[in-house]
Amino acid sequence: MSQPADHTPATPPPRPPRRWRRLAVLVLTLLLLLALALLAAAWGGRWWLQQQGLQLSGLGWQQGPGIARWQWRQQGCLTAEGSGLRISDWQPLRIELQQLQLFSCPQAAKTRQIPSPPAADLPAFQLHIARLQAAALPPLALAIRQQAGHWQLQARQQQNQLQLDYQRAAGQWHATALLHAASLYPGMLGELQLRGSGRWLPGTLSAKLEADGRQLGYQGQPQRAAARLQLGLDNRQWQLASSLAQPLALPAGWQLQAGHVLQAGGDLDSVHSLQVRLLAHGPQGSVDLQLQPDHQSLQQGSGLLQLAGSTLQGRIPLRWAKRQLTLAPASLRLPQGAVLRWPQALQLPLAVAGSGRLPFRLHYQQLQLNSDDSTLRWGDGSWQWQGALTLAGKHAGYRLDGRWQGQLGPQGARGKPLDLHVQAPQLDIRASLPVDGIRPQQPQLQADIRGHYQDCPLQGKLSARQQGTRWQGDIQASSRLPFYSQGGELQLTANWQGQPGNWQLLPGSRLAIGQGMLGGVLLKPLSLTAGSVLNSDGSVGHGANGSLQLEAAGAVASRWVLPALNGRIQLAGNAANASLQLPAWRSQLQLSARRQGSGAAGSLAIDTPLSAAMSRGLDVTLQQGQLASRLQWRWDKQWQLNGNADISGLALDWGGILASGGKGRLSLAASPAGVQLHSDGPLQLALLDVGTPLQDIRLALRSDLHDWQLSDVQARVLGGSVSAGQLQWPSSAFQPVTVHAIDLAAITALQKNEQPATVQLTGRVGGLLPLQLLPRGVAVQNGLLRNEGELTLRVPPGASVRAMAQSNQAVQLALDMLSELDVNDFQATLNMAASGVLDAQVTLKGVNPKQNRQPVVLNYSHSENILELLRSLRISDDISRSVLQRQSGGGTRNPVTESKP
Amino acid sequence: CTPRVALEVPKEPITINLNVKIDHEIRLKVEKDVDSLTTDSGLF
Amino acid sequence: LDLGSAKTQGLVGEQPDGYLGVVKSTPDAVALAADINAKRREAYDAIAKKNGATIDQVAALAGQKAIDKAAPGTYVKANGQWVKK
Repeated sequence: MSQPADHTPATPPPRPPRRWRRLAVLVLTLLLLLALALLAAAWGGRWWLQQQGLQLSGLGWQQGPGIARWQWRQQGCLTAEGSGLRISDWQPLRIELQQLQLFSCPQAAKTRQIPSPPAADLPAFQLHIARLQAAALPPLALAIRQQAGHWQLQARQQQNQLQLDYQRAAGQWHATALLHAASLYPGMLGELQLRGSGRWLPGTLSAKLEADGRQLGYQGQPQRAAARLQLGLDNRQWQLASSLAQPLALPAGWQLQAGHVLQAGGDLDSVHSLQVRLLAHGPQGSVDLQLQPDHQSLQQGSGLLQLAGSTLQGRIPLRWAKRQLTLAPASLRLPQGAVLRWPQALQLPLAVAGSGRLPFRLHYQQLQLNSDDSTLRWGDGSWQWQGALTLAGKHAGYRLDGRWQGQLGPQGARGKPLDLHVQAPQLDIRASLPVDGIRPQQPQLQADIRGHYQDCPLQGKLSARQQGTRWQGDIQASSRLPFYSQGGELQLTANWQGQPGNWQLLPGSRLAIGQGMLGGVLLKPLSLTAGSVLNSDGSVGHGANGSLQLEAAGAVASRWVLPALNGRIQLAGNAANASLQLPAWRSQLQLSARRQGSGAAGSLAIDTPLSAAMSRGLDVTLQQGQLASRLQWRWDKQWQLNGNADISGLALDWGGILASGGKGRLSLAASPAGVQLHSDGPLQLALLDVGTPLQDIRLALRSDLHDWQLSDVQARVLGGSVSAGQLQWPSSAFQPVTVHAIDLAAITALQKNEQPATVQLTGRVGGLLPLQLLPRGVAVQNGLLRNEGELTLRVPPGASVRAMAQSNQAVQLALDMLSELDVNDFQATLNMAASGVLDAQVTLKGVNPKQNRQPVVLNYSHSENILELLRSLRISDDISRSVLQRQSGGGTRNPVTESKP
Repeated sequence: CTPRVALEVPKEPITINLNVKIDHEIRLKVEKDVDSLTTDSGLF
Repeated sequence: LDLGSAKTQGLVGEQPDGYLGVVKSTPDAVALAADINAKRREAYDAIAKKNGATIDQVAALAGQKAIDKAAPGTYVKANGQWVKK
């Protein structure tokens, strides 16, 4: 057994020393360790070893003594731990070590001395460590050979390798190394060639080191750069200088400017001088960092960080002292015009791990994001922000106020939901957005919305995810239309996409309104579905563009029903037009609208056939006809409607009364104040059958739906004509109606279905009938009819006539006298009460040609309820009326003078 | 209906007075129909 | 919802114009009134045509009768107001 070296190992340097120096120290400790181990193994002095902080286990022998595991502690702190130690040869001594791990123990800071070199007269030995792990170093393989003071060291880590040659006697050493840039920073390319030499004797240590970087670059970047680093060490003083020959490519398209990057100097304890000048250029602009330590020590200094570029602008003076970095109050202009400001100086610890308070203000257009409670924590390669954010300001016409509190890290955000309050005229919405679980790579947001628009309550869910620079998502929202007294639930389901300034609702997005009561009307469900993409720039009051499909199931009221309605609505910003149909009534509606001032205006065109189906709420039943109406409407706090309506081919019935051949154009002006209606050109009705036909009726009218002014009224009736210049209804005044060429035969024919006519009259009469047009009836007072030309009177022999004749002689004579009469003077005065009872006093003067022209005067009084007569006529000749209907295109018309019983 | 007749001297114009009064009993029919409607049509 | 129970529940009532009026406007009441009034109108139209009258004359007559025959406790409209018989 060779005697172990008899000197005590140099106490290992308190601080983790320069890499190659530590290896040498390590070797010493190992040799000592080995000797002690052997000693302990031989005499079993395990206890003594413990005292030295050594634990051994697994002593054994495979081709030489070996220790499976051992640990070495210094003052309780594990300094080194190894496994698989074996002595495989004795001459020269060869020690093999499977695995050795070095730990750095906290040391009291003391000024460092130059480490002393290993002893000169050590026996030859070889040391092979398969896997050496030291803090902040990747595991590497180490081989040391020493013979007669000539040390040779080889270290290898993947393709990186280091050779060191040291003559202990002369103290001369020189070393070469090859280091791949990739192992310095993933993605870096190129390699570093190191050459160093110097002297290391007890009391003196000098080194001159040069490192040449070749083909330095970054993956995916074409640039390649050369760099040079020079380090000089003379006992305790050292200088360092590094420079870049060409720009060095950095990640994200940035590159470091060529030139002197770093100059520094100092002694083993501290850095005396340091000039750092980093200038980097990138897509966003350039970053210029200059650092100058205060005179003596690196411990404190000042610097300036300058950002310049189209979208990046800022000057940040900084100071560092006692391991604290202070950024002076500054502001930074960021892309899209945002400005980042911190009003007070920011304090950050200069450490691999630490935390600092970073209150800041971020301005973007009219929005401001404030964060007073803002702390950044970083360490072991990660970071975490914690604090509270408040947002306030205006954007695109909306007032935004938001609050959030929580943590933000590379894995995403955690904390309370983000609260956002969005306000616009008549809009007030609060959105709550849970942040937990949002992955920063592709954020999936889900917000609950609650609030109201005008006085519709609003609540729902909005989801959003990012697709490149665009966002997309869907909306489910429900509300209730306040003006519905019952029901009127509103459901919106929409898919949207877009980016600020250009938002789109995708086709298929749908707004459905449930059935509900609006006033006394039951509105059935209706829906609006996006037929095309709906584009909007999202700002208030700018409207949208695109097409919508309207489906409405109609409406029901106690007296009328509106059938289903559907059609297309085309939105164009602040204007829209719709073409709608009511299939059941074959009606077409064209509606246009545009925003005007604080209201809106537009046109409405209605083209529809008139049918019985429409007449449910009317007292008349429309049989046929065509309505074409062109209206303009305006709404500004109250509505206004004017335009005209063309009716043609109108046929209707009012119960027993038929009218057909209606045609005419009405002009209309309506508003909440009232309606003004006037005919445009004569209104015509071919036939009005009230029991006896009125034909070719023409009139002009003006009305406010309460008072009706009729003018140029004319009609053909009973073979003659009726006309009136002006008629006002309702009115208690007696208004003259001229009657002309009424055929007496037609009048007597009216009796035909009661009983055979007692008197037959031919010839024409005319005159004036003062008409009182009452709200619910018509009356005649002092109507006067005269003969127009010759009349003839016959009392034809008939059953009833014969019956009367036999009853008494006088009657016989009279009837003979009246059997035939040529009348030259006929005067009738007519009075009819509103009840319809007519009292006619007729005086006929004529001669009986058969009784040698005997002059006869007939005073004939007639009393009958004309309305009931007409009503009975309407019943009796249904057959003939239906014939009449077919002749004149059928149908009945709106009556003029029908009174109520 | 019941016509009444009076006689005058010949060559002098003969004056005949003829009074006719016609009544229609249309109203009752309607009321009967409405009555039956309001009682057994199930609509009231 | 049938007419009888609608009337006893005070949802609908008879009106002088011969048509059923909605007292408490609920969807069922309105639907019932619409259906009944359509059928009444058809009946009035038939009677009117048969008797040469007008629909509103027949309807007014029917209205009068319906109000007279309205069961006590049900609603009828008198000069524009709903009153309980």
